[in-house]
Amino acid sequence: MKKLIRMLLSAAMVLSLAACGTNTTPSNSGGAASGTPGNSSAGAQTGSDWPTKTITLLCGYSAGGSSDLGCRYLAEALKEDLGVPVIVENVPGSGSWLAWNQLLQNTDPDGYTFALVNLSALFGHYDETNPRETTIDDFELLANHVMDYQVLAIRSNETRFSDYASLVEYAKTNPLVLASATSSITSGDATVAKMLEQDHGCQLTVIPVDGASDATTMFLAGETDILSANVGDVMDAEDNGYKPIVIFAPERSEYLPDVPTSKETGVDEYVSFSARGYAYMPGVDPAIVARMQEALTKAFENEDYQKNMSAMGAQLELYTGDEYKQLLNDQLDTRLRLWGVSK
Amino acid sequence: MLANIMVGFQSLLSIDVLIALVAGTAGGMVIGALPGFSAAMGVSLLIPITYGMSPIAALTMLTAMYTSAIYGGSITAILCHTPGTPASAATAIDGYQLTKQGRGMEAMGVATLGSAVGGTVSAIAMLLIAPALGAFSLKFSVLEYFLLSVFGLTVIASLAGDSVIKGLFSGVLGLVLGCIGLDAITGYPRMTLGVIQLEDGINFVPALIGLFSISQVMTLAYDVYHGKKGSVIEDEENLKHSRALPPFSELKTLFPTMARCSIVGTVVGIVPAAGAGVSSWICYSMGKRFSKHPEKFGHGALEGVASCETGNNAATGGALIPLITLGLPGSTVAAILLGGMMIHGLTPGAAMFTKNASTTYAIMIGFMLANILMGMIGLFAARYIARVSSVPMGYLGPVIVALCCIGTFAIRNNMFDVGVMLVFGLLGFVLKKFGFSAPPMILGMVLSEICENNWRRAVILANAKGGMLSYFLGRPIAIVLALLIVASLFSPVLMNFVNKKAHAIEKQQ
Repeated sequence: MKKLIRMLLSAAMVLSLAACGTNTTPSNSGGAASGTPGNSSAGAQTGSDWPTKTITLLCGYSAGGSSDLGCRYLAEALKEDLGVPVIVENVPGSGSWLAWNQLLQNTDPDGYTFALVNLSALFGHYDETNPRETTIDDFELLANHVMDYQVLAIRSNETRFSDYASLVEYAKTNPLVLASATSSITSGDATVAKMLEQDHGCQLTVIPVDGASDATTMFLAGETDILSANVGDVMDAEDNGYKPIVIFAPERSEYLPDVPTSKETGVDEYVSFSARGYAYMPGVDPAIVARMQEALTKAFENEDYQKNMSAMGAQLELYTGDEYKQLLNDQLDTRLRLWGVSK
Repeated sequence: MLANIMVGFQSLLSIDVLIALVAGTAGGMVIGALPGFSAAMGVSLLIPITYGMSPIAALTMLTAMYTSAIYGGSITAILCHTPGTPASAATAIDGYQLTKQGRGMEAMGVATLGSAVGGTVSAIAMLLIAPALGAFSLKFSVLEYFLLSVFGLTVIASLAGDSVIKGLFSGVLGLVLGCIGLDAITGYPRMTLGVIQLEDGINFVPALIGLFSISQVMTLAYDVYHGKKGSVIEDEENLKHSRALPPFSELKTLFPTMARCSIVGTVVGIVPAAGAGVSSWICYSMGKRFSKHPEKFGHGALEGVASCETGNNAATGGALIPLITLGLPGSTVAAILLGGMMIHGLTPGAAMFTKNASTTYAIMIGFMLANILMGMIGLFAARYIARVSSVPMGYLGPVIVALCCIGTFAIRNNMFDVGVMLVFGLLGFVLKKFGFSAPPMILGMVLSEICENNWRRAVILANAKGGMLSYFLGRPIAIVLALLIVASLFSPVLMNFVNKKAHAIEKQQ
């Protein structure tokens, strides 16, 4: 009898755990099932009755980060328009390539799975140390939602230079050090450094670090001289003793109204950003693609979505279809020129 | 500040904050105790649940979850040799030996007390001198991270068990395995054999679960099958009579250890790049060096349990200090907490101690109370939780394996990680059969990345600043760390020499 109770207890323990996994992360278990090829009716579905079941959004970053949160807010907004549940499935790893490979290679193009894409997905092919097979053309781009422009920042007590022009002038004769997460074409931070070297003849040493927060740590500690980052990284600059001096954007950011654009400084007209959007794999019914683009546009205009995204410091800019592709191709051309890589 | 502390207390005394505090603490213990479910996972799963709460309730719950998950990991480490979180791997060494000697409950009591003391001390440090300590964290940079990791590596010798050569081999194997993945400096894939899953390196948690938990189940199953051992780790009769804490005379001797590890753990926690895991190893090795009975370490020393459990919980408060004062996360969990703070409109930085002071102090006091509460719940529940070790292997083994598989899969929703866990389980079993111990290997894997990457960064940085020697000599903390490493390497030789001399003199007389 005692043995029986023990056995039941241990079984209950394991089962309850499995069940609790389903409740707290509905994105995981549900997503895995609907993402499996074979159990969905690809091709049988036409644009008119789509969608009839749960849609999965693949996010290549772990739960809790800003990419993940953006996906979750979007899922909420999409649900209102499409009328079916939209769940986020986190597939973190290898700089989101596990998620993109899953989308492109292991998922039916039935319109029920789409993914978060950023510049790494689209430019990874041109990374010389670890090139990816996938290019921009391998994705069916749907819509871009977030733009995060590059900035350069200096410490508040910096005496050697005070603005972008004097920084560039100074660095031409005095080598400066800066840190960047990854040192390749996919990184906006490193590309700004490359631009300073190529276009202005500045002398820079780039130290590759693990992430934006490590770069900020070294900058604040005085180990590095300047900080190359995105608007989203420097929202709390003033409280922490440093200030952005230039934003590489066509217009000033609403989050940093006092920071001049590169064009305003008269030094150059360089524009650099990281962008977050959403994409299908190729082969999805054009009618479904059109409906999804419409839904993503509506979600973009959703009031709660706008409010939540702004709270995270995300700059919202909508691009769809050819406009989206143009935006990315322009940025790609600039980066290829700076890194001296041919297409 | 006193006024802020009073206001902080007041805002804690609302019913939703208290419920959040208790739920966070209890939930963290359960998450921590389950193999594979780490503090990082608990906190990231909790963030969406806190959306609707007030900032104080939300952050109190999250930080309570953080510290008690680190503690919870020790429960299964001691009772089943299956550390629930990476930070408890060191606890398994002596904790499980104590369980085998029928002193599992005492080990748990010491772990509970140590965790509560370490966590509370770090919380008090945070409450009183956080801004000053935050500035201290900026004194550490790539060269200091490198030296700290080398200091950690000197611990390997003390973990080696019976054979130093075999211990060193395990450690080197761990270092090599830690090299797999994208080169952090150049981005070039190393030893990945074209497997994209290996680009991030071997995920450390599945490897740990395999090496400790799976290999443990295999060893027990092997022994039971060959009739070498009873099927129960500890029998129920014995449990009824055992104490929740060792007698006071023995407990008393642990207080200096706890005090020392509280301080060391807090400091290691403050250093960005180190965390609760690194802290527990460093405290364990220091515990051994300072101990009057170092020979007992590895064979069931309460001091061993006390030092690493105090050290890892002290690191949790330490990691929160640069997070709150500068927005710099000192550990993986702290990085996730940063996201949680932003969602609730709390931007880390100086404003946390001016504009948002009342909220900040409420959260810090909440964190302190969570540590005390955790100690009370732990001591109360020890008697019941310890029954786990009276469950026959035939039932316990499959449950552990099932939990390990679920937990490992849940880390990244990735079956590959489950494969990694099983491979490391087999590896751990084989190594153990041939007398190699697993802890040095785990330590090698933990430190490999920190060590290599930061050394290479330090070289780039030093070259840009006029050479390594002048760069090194301009950094006092680096010099202190280098001296510590030298002392740590040569102290056993020196001690040996002195002992022999003393022995010789004794004989002569």
